[in-house]
Amino acid sequence: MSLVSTGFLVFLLVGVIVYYLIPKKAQWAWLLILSYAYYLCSGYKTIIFMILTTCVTYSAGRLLQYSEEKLDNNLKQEDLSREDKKAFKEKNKAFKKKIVLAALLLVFGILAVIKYYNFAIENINSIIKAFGGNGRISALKLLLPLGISFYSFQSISYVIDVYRGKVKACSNIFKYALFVSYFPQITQGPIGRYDRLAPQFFEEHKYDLVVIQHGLQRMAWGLFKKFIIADRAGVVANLVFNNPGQYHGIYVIIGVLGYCAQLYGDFAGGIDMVMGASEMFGIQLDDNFRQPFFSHSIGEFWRRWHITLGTWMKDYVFYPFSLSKAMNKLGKFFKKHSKTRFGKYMAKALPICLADLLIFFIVGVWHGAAWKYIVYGMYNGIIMSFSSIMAPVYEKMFKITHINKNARWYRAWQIVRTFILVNISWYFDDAATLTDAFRLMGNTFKHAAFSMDAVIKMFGSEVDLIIVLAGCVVWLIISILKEKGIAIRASLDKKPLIIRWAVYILLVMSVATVGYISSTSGGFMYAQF
Amino acid sequence: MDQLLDILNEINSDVDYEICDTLIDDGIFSSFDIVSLVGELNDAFDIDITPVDIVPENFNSAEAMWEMIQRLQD
Amino acid sequence: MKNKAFKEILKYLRVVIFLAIIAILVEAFNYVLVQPGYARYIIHTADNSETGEDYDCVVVGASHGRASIDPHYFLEMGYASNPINMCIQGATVIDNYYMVREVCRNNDVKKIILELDYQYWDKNQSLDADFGDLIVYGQLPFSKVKLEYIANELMTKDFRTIYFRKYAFAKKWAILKKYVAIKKTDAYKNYQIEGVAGLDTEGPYQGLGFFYRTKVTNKKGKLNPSPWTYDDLNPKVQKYFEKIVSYCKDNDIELICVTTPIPPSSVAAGAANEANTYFKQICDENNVRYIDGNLIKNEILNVSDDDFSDWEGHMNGELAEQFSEILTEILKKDDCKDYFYKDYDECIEAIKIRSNS
Repeated sequence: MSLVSTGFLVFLLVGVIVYYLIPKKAQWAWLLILSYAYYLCSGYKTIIFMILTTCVTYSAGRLLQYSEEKLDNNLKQEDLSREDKKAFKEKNKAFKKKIVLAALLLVFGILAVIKYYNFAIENINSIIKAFGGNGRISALKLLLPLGISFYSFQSISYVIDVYRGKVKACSNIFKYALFVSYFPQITQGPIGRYDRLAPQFFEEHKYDLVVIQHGLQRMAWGLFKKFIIADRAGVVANLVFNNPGQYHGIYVIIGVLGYCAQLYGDFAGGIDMVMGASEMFGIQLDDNFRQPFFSHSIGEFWRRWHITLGTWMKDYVFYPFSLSKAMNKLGKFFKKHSKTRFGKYMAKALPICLADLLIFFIVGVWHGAAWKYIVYGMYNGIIMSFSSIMAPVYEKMFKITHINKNARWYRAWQIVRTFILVNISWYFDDAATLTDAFRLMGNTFKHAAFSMDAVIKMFGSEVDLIIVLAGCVVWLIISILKEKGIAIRASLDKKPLIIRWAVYILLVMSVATVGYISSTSGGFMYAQF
Repeated sequence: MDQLLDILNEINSDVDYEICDTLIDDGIFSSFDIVSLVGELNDAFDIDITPVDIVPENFNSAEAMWEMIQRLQD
Repeated sequence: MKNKAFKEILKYLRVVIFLAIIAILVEAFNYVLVQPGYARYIIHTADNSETGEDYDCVVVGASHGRASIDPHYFLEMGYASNPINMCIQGATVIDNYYMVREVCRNNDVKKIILELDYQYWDKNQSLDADFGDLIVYGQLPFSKVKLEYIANELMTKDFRTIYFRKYAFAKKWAILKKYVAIKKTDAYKNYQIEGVAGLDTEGPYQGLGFFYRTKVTNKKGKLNPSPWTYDDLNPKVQKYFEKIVSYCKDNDIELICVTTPIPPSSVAAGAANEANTYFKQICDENNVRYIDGNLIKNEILNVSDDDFSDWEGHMNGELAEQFSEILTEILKKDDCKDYFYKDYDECIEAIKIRSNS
């Protein structure tokens, strides 16, 4: 069910109405029914995978809890020696590790096969062909289950949190099933955490008109981003990226910037829709975007863009990896064998660089089964690693040149530089293949005479171009306000009726009358994940 | 506590650790800093800080870190 | 207590007023920007018969039907007492179904003539995914039929299709001014044909939904489009065809399917032949009469390439009048085997002989 379809809005309306009419204790059960109904609408054939993941991770949680409780009981025994206590603890730890490993293998195994089997076979075939073989291992016809990347990551975070003792295992499989399948976040995230979602799911939610209104306002704002900015900018992006040989110079740049607006508008707009919808049920999801283009570095960018993916990587890959025994040993080895101060710094930085490369490899692969995504990820990873390695060099350069890195002009330069670096990464993200990406990059440096008419033609008409730019300006203003910490909806609530209504009416009418209508209208981009 | 402050100052000497309690929330310490810090703390105090300990409640201020260290030493 | 209740009511009153303001603004935008189109005129005319009597015979289809079938002949030759041609440019078979439903809502219809054009049965036809099919929906007055349309067609489509009509907005300032000028006229307000924009391209309106297309010397379009084959069949269109058949059966309406003639050279090139043969087959399966205008013997209806303004098959008024007369004759007779060639082979043979002589 597309988030912009009539069916979804009717579904949501009915869902919300019933939610507040039924006994509060049953509200979570209704959400579970809604979530499964939503999932079944997208294709009943693939729901089995989500059920499987739910059962596996739920069982893992229960087993981990059981093991902990067993340990507690064992430790309570009288006359236990220190060795005995240690033995119990070791056994518990080993058992828990096995459970987590099994869950990881099963859940990510399913994800890997469904999403990446064909990609792997393709590459194996190419290698076989290169060695003179037939290379005709056949690909599988696999349907991609809705939200598999999102719910897999979310349910694994639960298992690891139970393992770490951060949360207690859920003892009701139906309640847990809601956590995995919750429909607003199944299509495109955000990737939630059990400790923040569970309390909200299972508490009682009282009806409040303001909550509904705020939710609707957020949804309308998401539609603004998608219909007014993203879909229009997408026309230009598609023109350039679908015809990599046709455009040169400034026109390629316009295409890339168009993709930037399209991707940001579509993804952030979709998240707004999803969060607004969830808010109406009284469930607050984690933010996924925080004015990412105000970032001063790629590192900061990934703390402001697709935030929940970044924090997932940080909590479940980055820290475990960089603090692991292996990395510790590596760091110590370098420290021992390096004589220079830089060498000793590298000893510290190396585990982190490797962690960054690993994370961004995973991020790249998460986006899709294609070499261009891997390159996209590694591009970011290499920049991160490089800046870690070069940090002391930069420090020295600041001292020598007496540049104040907190100066306004320098901060502005950082924002521009980051913006450029991010847009370069889009070449890999939107081009059909890696070859096309490089071709487009090459064409960017070829000369093309600038003509305003040609630009207008790319957008369709003068009006379309003006609307995109105006939309971006509005979004920029809102972003600046949010960056300053202003809560937009709350502050609007305090304004006089006339002003509030003017804003809301403008928002609704602009979506209705200025929203772009295209032949591929409908469907958010990240719903493929 | 002094040992802790020494380590902190080595990572970032621009901060007043007596006052500041938003080291993580305000992004004063990056992930890089945290990883370096954890390594140093593990060595200096013979403890084992795991990823589950790396939360703002434990790292937002020098005092919070000291409390965590003492807890882990038990 | 009372104060609290009043405050609650006020909150919801504000919501209602807000929605009302939105509705007023949307209507205002529609008034200024939406094209005053033919669909509005013909659907209103079908719903509100000028004579006060119900329409008893309705022609439903797309542009070929509108150019080829003149209902005056039905009237004059006693085939129907109050006929109307509801064909709309670009109407799909799905639109046709809802047009049938709409006209039958307000009229006691006895006969439906469904014009079948293979171009609308092609699954490769590129129509705007969500917003391209709304010609008829946009003009349906609020009724059970409209709600049925929403439930059947619009649930999977962009929610804007339900109420917002941006897809029909004027795109240029000059055109916008023209639309507003038309909407201020009495003809527009009274649903008269003069209140419709963009009609001058075809030819004079003759009433009852028929346009007399003026002769054009330079033919438009391709002579040899790739022929429709059974593989191109759009299953959704077939489903809606069957819905039309069932609806007519259930409501005692006689359904006759007609394919209007296209230029003989196009027939010889074979674009439509398999399609029309397929139409014959499904009509036979559903016990529905099918009349293929292309198979009418040339001695009875003399058709030449010059009688059309394009290769696709929009016929000029002169041929349309002749065709309408012959069609009415055929409709009135039960057995018309001698009017027709046996099949396309015979027909194409005859065309070839004609073109050689």
